[in-house]
Amino acid sequence: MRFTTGIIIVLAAAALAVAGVLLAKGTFASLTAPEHPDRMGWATSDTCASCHRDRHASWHRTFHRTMTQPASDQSVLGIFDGRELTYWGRTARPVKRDGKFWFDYLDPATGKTQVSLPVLRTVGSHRYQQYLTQTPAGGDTYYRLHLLWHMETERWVHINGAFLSPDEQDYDAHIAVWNHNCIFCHNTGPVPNIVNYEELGQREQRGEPINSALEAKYASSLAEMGIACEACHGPGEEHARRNRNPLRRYALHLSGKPDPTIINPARLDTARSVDVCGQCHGQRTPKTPVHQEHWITRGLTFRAGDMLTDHVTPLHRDLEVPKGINPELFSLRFWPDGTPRLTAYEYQGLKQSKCHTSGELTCISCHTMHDGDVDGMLPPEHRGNAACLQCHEELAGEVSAHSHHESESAGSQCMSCHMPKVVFGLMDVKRSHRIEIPDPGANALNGRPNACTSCHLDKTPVWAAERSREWWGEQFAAPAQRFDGAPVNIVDSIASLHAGDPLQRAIAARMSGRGDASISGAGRAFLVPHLLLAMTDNYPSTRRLSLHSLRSIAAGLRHDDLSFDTTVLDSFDFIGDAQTRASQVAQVKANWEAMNKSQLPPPPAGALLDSNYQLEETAALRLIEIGHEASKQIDIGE
Amino acid sequence: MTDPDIRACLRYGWTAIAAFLLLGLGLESLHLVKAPLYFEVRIRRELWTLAHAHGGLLALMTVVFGHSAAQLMRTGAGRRRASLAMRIGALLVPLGFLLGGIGNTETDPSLAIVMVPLGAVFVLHAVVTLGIAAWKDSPIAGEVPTPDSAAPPVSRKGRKHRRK
Repeated sequence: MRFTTGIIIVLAAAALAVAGVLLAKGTFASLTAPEHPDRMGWATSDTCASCHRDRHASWHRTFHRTMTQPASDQSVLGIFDGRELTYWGRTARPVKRDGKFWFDYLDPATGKTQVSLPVLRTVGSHRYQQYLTQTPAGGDTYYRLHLLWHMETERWVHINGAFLSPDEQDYDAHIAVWNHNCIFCHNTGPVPNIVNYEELGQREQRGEPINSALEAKYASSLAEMGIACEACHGPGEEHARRNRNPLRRYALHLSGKPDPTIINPARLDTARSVDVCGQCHGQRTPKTPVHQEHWITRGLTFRAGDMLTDHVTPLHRDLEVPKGINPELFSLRFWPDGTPRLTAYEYQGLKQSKCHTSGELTCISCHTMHDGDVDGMLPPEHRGNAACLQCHEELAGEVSAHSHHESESAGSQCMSCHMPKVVFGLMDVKRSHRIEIPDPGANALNGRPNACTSCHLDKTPVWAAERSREWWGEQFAAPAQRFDGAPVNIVDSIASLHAGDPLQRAIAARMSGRGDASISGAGRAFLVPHLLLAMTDNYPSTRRLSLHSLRSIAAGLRHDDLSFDTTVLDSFDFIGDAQTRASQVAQVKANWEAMNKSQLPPPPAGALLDSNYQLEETAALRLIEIGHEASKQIDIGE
Repeated sequence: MTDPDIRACLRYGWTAIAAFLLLGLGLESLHLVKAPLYFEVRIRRELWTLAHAHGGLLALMTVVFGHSAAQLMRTGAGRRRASLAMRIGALLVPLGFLLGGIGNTETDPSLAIVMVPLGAVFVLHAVVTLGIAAWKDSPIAGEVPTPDSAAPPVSRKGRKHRRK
């Protein structure tokens, strides 16, 4: 009996030893980096969730996840109630039929449905939502449709009015093929897979005209719809496979070493860390024609952990535009000093910031994918000065002395001055991600908005430069002129609203109504006639942002028991019929002129108003002329 | 019921029931105040919940084990070993879950989790031993097992033989 037991114990021990050696051998082998990291497969977020449930849950609540979704009752946010929407001469009708979502396009002559396109996918879920369809002739090609749903105002907006484009546009101006545009940044592991790429290339070489939007055939695929785990952590199939071995996991836990099969952006050096976000938050072109072919056929070559510039050329103001394309295609996306002025260029802004180039600032120094508020992906404390004081700790408790503003005022918020709102995108004005020292004189010369006069709405750039020189040193010189040629003794917000280029006008319109400006209530009344004038601008975005600000100022006046009737603006449609708009503006203007202004403070000097708030129309119209002469037409989508 | 091994089982069992009830109360309190260290770490929540559940269940099992062993196990040495294994196992399993939730990573418990399978082996040993005793080694009616009972085990074969 004892002999038998002994034999069993010895055999069991031997078997355990062999299994242990094999497992350990496999474990050590699996700790090495994958042989072909560029060929690793995708796992999808469901696989990630089986181990990383907390991380999965924190990602699941974000707008990244819902960036692209199949159209369904859960994902579609727009109201498909069958109302007719006529813009740019065409009528479309978003309608729900048989449980599906459709856009009916009406024949202008008969008013009957000409074509009905099904909504198959949605793009976006935060600020606005766009819709994708397929046509019977288009095969696997998805097309972006004309109307988007704007969450803030809960209304349909034609894309021409959402982007920064003038009135003079075609109804179809922004129709786009999803398979070689949106697919890249709004999904994980995108592969456009143009199946007739070679054929199109040969035809192009023969000099034949090609309409790639209609002629390219796709068999596109995604690792996962929306922006999921592997967009930032790299393909995870190998990681999931290897980590089924518990010894491997504990060997990694105990060693504290990173797992070579997956990328953790927090463990990357500063350059590679920002590259993870920069792959989408930094508009770019393929680095070489080889990369371009790879993109359009087999998908992106960049993987999290790579150096982005090995794969792409980030756009910048002076980047050469390929022949045959608008030579200002890239330059108009930046202010004349090179600062990005559109969203999705945050990478370029950060790369121009000393905090990154000379310090250790990365995107995740402030933002977080797994904590905090999904609106901006920021932990609450990083909406305030704590974000900057992580590094600039010497300023803690000294912010007011440094800023020369009241400690609780917007002027003592680091971001108000160092990350001013000079960026347009997503139908709003956003913060610049070029962290800089504000220089109002240089900004006036460079034709870009500046932090000081975006808040001190009643001041001139000369005033701002003089205060800067007084407080922070001689390097801040007063500007002798503005970039656009408007006189520098005119209130900056007004000069920019009328004489600025289209983007400057849109930003000035938005900033006029900001709630945290240095002046409020009756103090902002001088902007009313100017905003009414800006509501006749030929850029829908400027009209919409002017309306937004006018309402804000009117509400402030009401708070001070001063009011004029703006009811008619409730039905003001910034992309609606021009005559109706003009009539509505004229009505509000008449109401404003009839208002008793004896309770208002005198308008500031340089506001182009007489003491009774009558607009000096000749001077204002001259500014508009200057603007049209000096600025280029801008027509920029997302 | 004065057998020290049986008493040890009952002592451990009832003490552990009280302790793991208190742990349950503690976990409820952490839920109540949404304590981030517990509430926001899913793996810790899971492990501590398992510690509470296993600790309570195994404590009850230890009490039942004590009573059953008194009835079913005749030999002092075997009972002592099984009783000790039951108590060690009943302690190690929840302790492994509890400590596994301290110093854990995002995906795995801390190394203290090895106590769980180890404890499970002890519990299994105790339960199997008791099970075998139930099949094989039932005391004769009227006989009360003593700690150092000198009485030889009476097998079925033996009983059959005696009946003859």
